[in-house]
Amino acid sequence: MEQHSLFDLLYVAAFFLGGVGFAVGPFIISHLLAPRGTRATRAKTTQIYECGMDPIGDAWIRFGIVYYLYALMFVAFAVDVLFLFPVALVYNRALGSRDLVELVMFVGILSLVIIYAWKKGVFQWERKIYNPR
Amino acid sequence: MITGADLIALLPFLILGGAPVVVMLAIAVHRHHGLTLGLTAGFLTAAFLALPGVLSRLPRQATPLIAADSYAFFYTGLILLASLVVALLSYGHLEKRQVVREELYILLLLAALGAAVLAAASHFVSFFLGLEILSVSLYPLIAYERRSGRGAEAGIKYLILAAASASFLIFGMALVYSRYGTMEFSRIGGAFAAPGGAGIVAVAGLAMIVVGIGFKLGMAPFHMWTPDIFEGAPPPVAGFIATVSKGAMFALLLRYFSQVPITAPVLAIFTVIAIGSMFVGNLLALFQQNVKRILAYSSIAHLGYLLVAFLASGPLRPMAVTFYLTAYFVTTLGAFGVVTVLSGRVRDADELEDYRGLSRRSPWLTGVFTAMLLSLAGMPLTAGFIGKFYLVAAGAGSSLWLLVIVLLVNSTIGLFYYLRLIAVLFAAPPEAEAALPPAAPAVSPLGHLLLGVLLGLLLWLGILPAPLIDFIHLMIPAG
Repeated sequence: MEQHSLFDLLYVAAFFLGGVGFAVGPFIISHLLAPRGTRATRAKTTQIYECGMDPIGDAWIRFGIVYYLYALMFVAFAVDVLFLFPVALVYNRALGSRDLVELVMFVGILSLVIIYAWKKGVFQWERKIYNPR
Repeated sequence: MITGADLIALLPFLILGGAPVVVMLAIAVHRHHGLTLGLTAGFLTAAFLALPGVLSRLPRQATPLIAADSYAFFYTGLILLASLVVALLSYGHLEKRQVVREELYILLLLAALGAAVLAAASHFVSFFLGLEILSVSLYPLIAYERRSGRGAEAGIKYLILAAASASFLIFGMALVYSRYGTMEFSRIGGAFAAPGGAGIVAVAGLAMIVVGIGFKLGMAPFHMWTPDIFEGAPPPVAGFIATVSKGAMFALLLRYFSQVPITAPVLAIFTVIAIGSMFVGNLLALFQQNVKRILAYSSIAHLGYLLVAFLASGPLRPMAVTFYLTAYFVTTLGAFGVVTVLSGRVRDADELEDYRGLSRRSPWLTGVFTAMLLSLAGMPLTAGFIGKFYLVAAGAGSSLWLLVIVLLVNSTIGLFYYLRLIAVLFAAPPEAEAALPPAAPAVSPLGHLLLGVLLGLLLWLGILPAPLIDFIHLMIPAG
């Protein structure tokens, strides 16, 4: 039993190290591999986006984010779909119709949110200025 | 497996759960402030009326998660009525402000649902679910007036601190579960009481759960958020946090520790928390210039008072806690009600100066506010006095002399700042009349009616407490 839990801890440690390596590794690799042969490339390696193109202007500008509510809705539904996986696992074990009813209730109540968002104009991607009302 | 009979017993909760969906759709179809308020009030009333309707089917353990018993129903009724008051107060408040109005009621209904689930929870899962439904709806409620810097700040603060405390709570639950292999309160209590049942892991888990609960109740040393959030939130919402959110959590605390025995380490922890809350709340309230902050610190102290009765054993304990909470609900809602109706179009009436000489401008509001403050201070003829009397009786009955003495000392300290506020109400108005905020904004008849009802309740509970006491005895058998 002790041996077993020790192995578990080793696994955790290995995954932890792997995770850290995955995050830190690219920085080290790009530091080692980045070409700095000519003056032009050397200048470009100090840019924020190291992609070979000269950036145009500043990143600190105001840009329209009319779609962010849409993205937010997507994330919310993506998370809710996760709840369907455990249902799929036990579906039809007992009383199949009951499972169906429960699923319809869950998805149905969620879908009503779309009506609200639709009426609120979340899906219209026009430049607009929200007025307080 | 949930059965049809369970569903009938849970009818009030189902009505409350369906309400936000219907209100949301109603807003989508026809955005109208009055209609939204009407629907909200209708649903809250319907859920409240359903409570006595299914009372004959109680107690019923609907799945291991929800204990539908008269205890839960009493607190659910209290939560529903308080939410109704908050909804009606919000109407007048939002009418004055340039904000999106209708969505507040969806969030309010959801928060009330979370609070009701908390009051009926008998399992860690329903405990956590109820807590999160309540907390997540409180974040946007607190930051509802997000264009005011204070509101946004308060919302973010509450979000971060509540998330941190919830992680403590859930870690504690995991530790307890790893020790006992169950998440039901009654079985945890049985395992904990068994000889050799309380190991270091279980006590550590319990302590972390206490951290989570202590945060939600705003008790020292987890009280830091309270003044900032009360100051930033719209006044009706602040009243909601002070009453519904804290009351539901206390109902859960009482249920949990009526099944899990209060052992020596737990008693020690709660004694420290109680004494800390009383002193921190009352001493810091002395230095405040902001009425909402004064009420916040006063609520910290009141939760400390409540712990005295909570730690008492014996038949008086549930009685004292429940009566005090009811009185506290009425009083706090009344106090925040006055702040709400006095608040103007742009800013809340929360500075002490806004109240200087209020007795000349509006004797009626001054009278209501004075009565509420005297009740908070525990003066006779008000509900607060009977409540505090029960607390002292319960504490003395269990020989918790240290706590009782601290309570009495703190009542005296508390008297200072309540009286200071009352003195400001009756002081002469400042010289520069022009510099005053324009004469008290016109209060809607609805606001007057609500304050009148709350004042009536306050005096009724203070002068004739017997009906409520009998009712609590009926609903919550001493155990």
